[in-house]
Amino acid sequence: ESHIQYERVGADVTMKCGSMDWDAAVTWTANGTDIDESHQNGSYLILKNVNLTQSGQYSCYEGSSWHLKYQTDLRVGMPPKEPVLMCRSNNYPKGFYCSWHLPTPTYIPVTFNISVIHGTREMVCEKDVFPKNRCHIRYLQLFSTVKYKVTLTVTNALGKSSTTLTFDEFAIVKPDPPESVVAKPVPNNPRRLEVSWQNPSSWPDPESFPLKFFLRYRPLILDQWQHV
Amino acid sequence: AAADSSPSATLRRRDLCSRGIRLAGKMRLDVIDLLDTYVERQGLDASTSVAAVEGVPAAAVEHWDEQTGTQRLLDNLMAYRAFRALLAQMLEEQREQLGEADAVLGRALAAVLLQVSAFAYHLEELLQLESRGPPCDEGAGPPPPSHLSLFERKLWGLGVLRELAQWAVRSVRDLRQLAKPSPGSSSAPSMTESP
Repeated sequence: ESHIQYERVGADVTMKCGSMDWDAAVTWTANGTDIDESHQNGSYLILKNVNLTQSGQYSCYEGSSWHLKYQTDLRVGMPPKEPVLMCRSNNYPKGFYCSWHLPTPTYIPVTFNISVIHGTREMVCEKDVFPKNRCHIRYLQLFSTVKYKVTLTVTNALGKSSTTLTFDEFAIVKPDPPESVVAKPVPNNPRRLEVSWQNPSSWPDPESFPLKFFLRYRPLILDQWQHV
Repeated sequence: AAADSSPSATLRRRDLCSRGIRLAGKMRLDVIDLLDTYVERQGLDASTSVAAVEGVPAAAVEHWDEQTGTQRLLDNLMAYRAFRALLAQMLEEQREQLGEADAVLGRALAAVLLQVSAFAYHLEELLQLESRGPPCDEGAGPPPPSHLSLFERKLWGLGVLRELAQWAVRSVRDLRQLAKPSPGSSSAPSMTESP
């Protein structure tokens, strides 16, 4: 039967040919290509200081009968480094989202587990279908002085790593940019422009939670911005 | 029973709301300054986290967007009446402890206490416009937590001020909700006010 074997980059890997004795005569192949006997210690296959290119299917055949005795899918990768996590509310007061990524790839499958705690209460973070590394939380309470604690744990076959963010309800509020920003010339006044815009559609209640806008402009030929 | 929805009452409500929003906004800024002064004078660390504080009205609320106007006003009024009593206590304790030596903190506390009282009164005015007038004022607040050490009392005071700062934010939001034209009422000229 075949299985998957995960190993760290740089590790020394010893593969046994199933239940064959050490002194049995065997041949190893990697992705169908014979491996030179110099890599063998008896019937064991020795791969020193493995690198990513050595991932693949390894098979072991009994010497004379060429029976397949063992097969494994070697995946070379790395344990996860500390993930990068951010949380933001662009739709206050409805809720907030958290999104994350790994600073460096691990080259093997990882799972992410996120927990959101508010005081003593564990909150549900609903995962997005797309993008995958994001989930949403709905505020159950508003105006709370109790901080939120979000912990993200990333796990793969070679290890795990986690990071925690602690923040106040207000600290992560950041609306999306204004929409439909349009600059129109003013008739009969070549030195004026009329700029109009809309509240971001993600901001649910601009009347109770009004947004402030700042406008700056410059002619293309100048480097300095003017502020309105 | 419905609130008075005559044009004059509607205008008065909106006028009281916009003034209330300005009062609450100013109060919040002064509470933030008071927090800085308090932390410094009491020798505390600004990042100290304080557990839920005994006898202090929590600003945290569930289903906030579903509250009726009357409920919002009542919750606010109860809170600020409580803060009025709590701040008066803090002021008295502070004078007992430090005497007149720390006039800065005493003055800052007194100034915020004044604003809290004024805001409570403002809320009573708003409640008059609702069919239900303001409830009677019981006057005295909850008894001071007497079993605390000096340090614990300082932390308690920190908790009071933090919760008050939170309430000031909530009050602005509550008043904005209140100022929204209710469905079915006649359209009114749009208000221009600074956020």
